[in-house]
This record gives sequence, structure tokens and C-alpha cells, in this order.
Amino acid sequence: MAETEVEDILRQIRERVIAQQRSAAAGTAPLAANASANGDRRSAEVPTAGSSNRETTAQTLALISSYLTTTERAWDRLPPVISNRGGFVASVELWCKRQMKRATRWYAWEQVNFNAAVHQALRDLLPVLAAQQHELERLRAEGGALQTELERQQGELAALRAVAQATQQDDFSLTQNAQVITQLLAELREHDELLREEQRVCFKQISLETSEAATLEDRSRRKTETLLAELQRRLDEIEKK
Amino acid sequence: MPKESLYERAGIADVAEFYRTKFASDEVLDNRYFKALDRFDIRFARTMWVYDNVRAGSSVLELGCGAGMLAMLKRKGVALIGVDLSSACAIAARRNGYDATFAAELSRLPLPAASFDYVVSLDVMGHVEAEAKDAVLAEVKRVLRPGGVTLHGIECTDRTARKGYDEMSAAELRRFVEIDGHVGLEEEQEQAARFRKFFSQVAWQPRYALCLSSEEFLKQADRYGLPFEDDFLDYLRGLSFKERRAFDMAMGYVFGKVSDLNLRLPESGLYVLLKASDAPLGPFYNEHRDRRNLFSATAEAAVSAASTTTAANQLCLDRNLEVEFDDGWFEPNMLPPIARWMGQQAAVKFRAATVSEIRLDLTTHLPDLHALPLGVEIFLNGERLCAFSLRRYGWLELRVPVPADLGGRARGAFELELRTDRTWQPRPVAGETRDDRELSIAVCNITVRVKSET
Repeated sequence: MAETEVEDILRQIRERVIAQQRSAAAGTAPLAANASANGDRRSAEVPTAGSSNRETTAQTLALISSYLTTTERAWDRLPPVISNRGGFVASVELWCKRQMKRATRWYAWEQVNFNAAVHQALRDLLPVLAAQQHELERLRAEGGALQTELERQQGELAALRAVAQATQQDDFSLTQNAQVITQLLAELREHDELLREEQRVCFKQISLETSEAATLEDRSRRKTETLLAELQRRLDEIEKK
Repeated sequence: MPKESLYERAGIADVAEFYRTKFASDEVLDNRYFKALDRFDIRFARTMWVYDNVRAGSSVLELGCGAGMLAMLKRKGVALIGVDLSSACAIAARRNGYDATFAAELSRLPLPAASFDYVVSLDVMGHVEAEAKDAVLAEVKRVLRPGGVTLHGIECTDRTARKGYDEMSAAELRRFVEIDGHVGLEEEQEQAARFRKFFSQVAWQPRYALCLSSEEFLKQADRYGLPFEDDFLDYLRGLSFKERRAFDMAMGYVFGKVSDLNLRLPESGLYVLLKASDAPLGPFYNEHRDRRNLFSATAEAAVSAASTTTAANQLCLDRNLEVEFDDGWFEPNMLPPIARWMGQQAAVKFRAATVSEIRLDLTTHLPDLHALPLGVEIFLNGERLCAFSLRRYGWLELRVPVPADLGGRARGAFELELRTDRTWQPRPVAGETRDDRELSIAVCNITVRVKSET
């Protein structure tokens, strides 16, 4: 019987080492590096976030599950009574140890009860942790989706901002163009007004010159008529003579 | 192979365009704007020689009319026709009052034979190459009526002092011709001899060398290299617009007196005045001198003014020969329209029975007008009619009512005076034109509403 127990203990140690090597290979914080054979995990660090953390948590749950196989099997087992001696001395030693075992049974029984309670607690905790892990993964997946959506929206927002900035610049350019056009229009109107005024004055001058020419023409006509009348009068006088 | 002309050798391909850039201008030479005092201006000295030698009411053809330097001959009631190589010059002369103008070569005049009493040219024969001159003179003889007279002012050369065309290098020739386009300069006797081939009577006098305008002195020195004293040239360069005008008036006065005294000047190798005809020539100067129409207070002009007044109940002062524009006004410019710039103060004297309203158009090119408006005041016979600030460019039409009592006190004589509070120089450092006039406003279309004289 003692050989069988030793073999079990060695197998448990091997499984624990293999689990630690997997953890180290995954680049995570060392887990159960200081775990002793009695399952003390005080120095084990709890993973925080990320997919590697999710794997680590799953491994941790698997490790706890492996611990539970140990506790399930050994929670009520006490150390075997053995002797390294031989002969009579060995018989005496074994008898003494059995007596002492019987005498300290009340104390060992409490330990067995404690082991049973721990085992039950861990066994009940495991599905809760698994459920929480599952829920956590679901939430992480949702968070990832939200993150992706957020990044997409941020991209869209940046694009919109760029468009808005370009539009603002276009608006500014349009405003500037409008100002230039307004200024040109004002200059054009002013120039047009000056030209109109110039034309008005030119036409007025032409009108005055035409009036003067007409007056001079009228005067010349009257003078010519007078001269013709005088000529006619003289011709008449000559004819009479 | 035809011989290359001097124009071609000088790199002038388009001769008409060359003369357009040299002689076509917006200059107002219309006789209606001519001030009697300008008869003393050396600029009009040769025009006055022609004016005093043509008969009133005759027909005059001007060869190479340019912008119309002979326009004042219209005051003598002549029929004035102009011919120029450049169509732009022909148009300018027409605008200045020529009865008709043509763009044509002088050796192929588009005019009937024996159609003019006078054929005149000023500063033209020096622009006709020696080989072409005979053809031009043949045309002059053709269009002249029998007994007609041809009058010329001709640029000459002095071969002892100046290289002939054949002696000039290509660069020298180009530089020389580019100044004025002189490709036909000959000595004084050569010119006279050429005319004698066509006319039996030829008389000529070396003129326009002793008396020159200030601008011409500087041009002869700077461009043609004539020797004048350096300090004299420096003095001329330093003259202001008014001083230059005074100098030119003095020169013109002396020029006129030399003519009046019939003094013969020594040969200068620069310029001659020449008369030629197949009929016996009269006096070289003042053959038909009658300057009455240059002055405002002639009976004919008075009739004209009165007629104008009667016709429209308004009197336009701009071109009225009875009206006197004082020296505060500069010579008219084509802005357009034709307007007179004034300095800080200028006056117009006119006669009318009564004046009820004065109208005029005015403008300014004064810089910074928006920042500093130009103050303008208008007076009639010393009484201020209005005062205002000119704040904008462009033409302003002004109508100023005249108090009724003012006309009564004036006794028919009025003096319209305009004053401004500042002036500016349009081109204070202009190189060639040296226009340093002090200008304020330009005025035109000055009309007064009058009541008919009874």
C-alpha cells in the first residue's frame, strides 16, 4: 500500500511541474511557482487582462480541477504507519505508532473534516469560477466588439472632422471669393458710373457744339440770304437803268 | 534689285506706324480753343507765319498734317484739308477742325488737280527721302491752282558739321532716324534748288534756329548733339512749367519781331522757311496779315455769341471767341471730353446782360481725394456763389443759381472765378514731358443761363 501512495504522490508532482512549464511557455506570470505539495498558492499572481490572461485563467481553473482530484482522493487519508527498521524493533515501533495513531485520532479527524470542507468548497467554487470566467470572456468579447465599433466610429469621426475642416476651408475660400467678387463688383460699378458720367459730359459737349454749329449755320444762312437779297436789289437797279 | 530705303536701313518697317507713334496725339489744337496770347508761343511761330501768309477764305492743303498744327487757320475762314501718311494722324487732325483729311502718300495725293490756293507743309520735307522729293513737289504743283503758293518749313542739315546718310554706320543711321524720322535732310540751297525745278519763284529764309523752344533746345543738344553752352542747358532743364512757358513766349515774340522787321538771318544749317509759286511772290512775311480773328472782341465773334445766346437762352463759354480764359487755365486737354485743367485759381471773363444760373462739369485726378477732400469755391464778380468739398472722382455736374441783384450790378461784364484749396503735380519727375504743372480740377461745358440782351 505504501508503494502505491508514493507512486500517486510522484504522479501529482509530475503533473504540477508540467502545468508550471506550460504556464512559463505561455509567457504569463509564474503560477504556483512556490506551490508546495500541500497546495499553498499564496504567491500565485492573478492574471489581469488580455487573451493570454484568459488562457492563464483557464489553465488555473484546470489546475484547480487537478488539485480537486487530489483532494477528492486524499481528503480522508492519513499518513501510513511504517518503519524502516526490521525485526522485533520494527514490530515494537509499528505497535507504538498504531497506539499513538489511535490516541490522536480525535485530532486527525478534525484535520480530515477540514480537508473535506476545503475540498467541498473548492469543488463548489470551481463551476462558479468557470461561469464567471465564461461571463468574463463574453464580456471581453463584447468589449472587443465595442472597442472595434469605437475604433470604427473614431475613424468615421476623424473622417468627418477632416470633411468638416475641408468644408470650413472651402467656406473660408468661398467667403474670400465672395469678398473679392463683391469688391470687384463695387469697382466695376464705380468704373461704370465714371464711364457713364464721362459719356454724359461728352454727350453734353457734343450737344453744345452741335447747338453752336447750328447757330453759326443759321447765322451764315441769314448772312448769305442778306447778301443775295442785296445782289438781287443791285441787279434790279441795274436792269432798271 | 531696288535700292534699300533709309527707313529700311534704319530698321523702320512700318513708316505710317512710326509716324503715328511720333506725331498722333490727343492734343487739342481746335481753333475754338486757341488763346490769342499763344500767337507768341514759339510752338506756334511757324503756324503764325503760314497764318499771316494765307488769304482769308482761301483753300489750304497741308501735307503731313500730323495732329493738326494748322487748325488755327480756320480762324481765317479757310477751307483746310490735311493729308498724312498715318491714318491716326488724319483722324486727329479731323478732330481738331480740319474740313477733310486723308491718309495717303504725299507722292500720290488723292485730290484733283488745281484745287488749292495754298499747299503747306511744316517739318515734312525733311522726312521725305531725296529720291522721292521730286515726286512730292510734282504733286504739290499739280494740286495748286494757277498762281497758287506753296509754303514750307523744312528741316535742313549742314554737311560740314554733320555726317551725310551715306557716311553714317548702320547704328548711327538708326539712332539718327529714330529721333524724328529725318531721312531727307538737305542743305538749304539744295532745298531751294529742288523747288526751283518746279516753281519759277522761290524765296527762302533761314529761320527757326536762333529762336527755339526750351524743349527743342534740349532735344537738339541731347539727341542731335548740337553744341550749346552746358550751363545754359542746365538752366533750361531746371525750368518749371510756367518758366518754360515764359521762355517759349519770349522766344516766340522775338521770332515774330524778326519776321515783322523782315530781318534776314544768317544760314544756320538747321531750318528754312520757303515760299514758292509760279506767280510773282508777295512779301515773304505777313503777306495777308490779319489777326483780328485771333482776338475775342471782334464784331463777328460778338454776333456769333449773341446768336448762340438767342438760340438756346444759354451761353456756352468753352469755345466762345468772346470769352477770355485767363492764365490760371492750362491749355485744353482731351480727357475725354475736351476740358481745361486749372491751377489753384482761374477765371473766365464774359459778357451777358444778366445771368441767372451757371452750369459746369468738373472733375479731378487729385490723389487721396477720399482721405482729404478738395475744397472748391466759385465766385462771380468777387461774390462767392458756392463752396463745397469734392470727395469723389468722376465728373460732377454743378448748377449754381445766381442772385438776381448780382446781374444788375455787373453791368453786363462778368468774371467767373474758381478757387481750390490745393493742387498736385501729375508727373513731377516725368522724364521726357517734364510735366510739372500744378493742377487742381478740370472744367468743361461752362454754360450760363442768360436773358437776351435787349
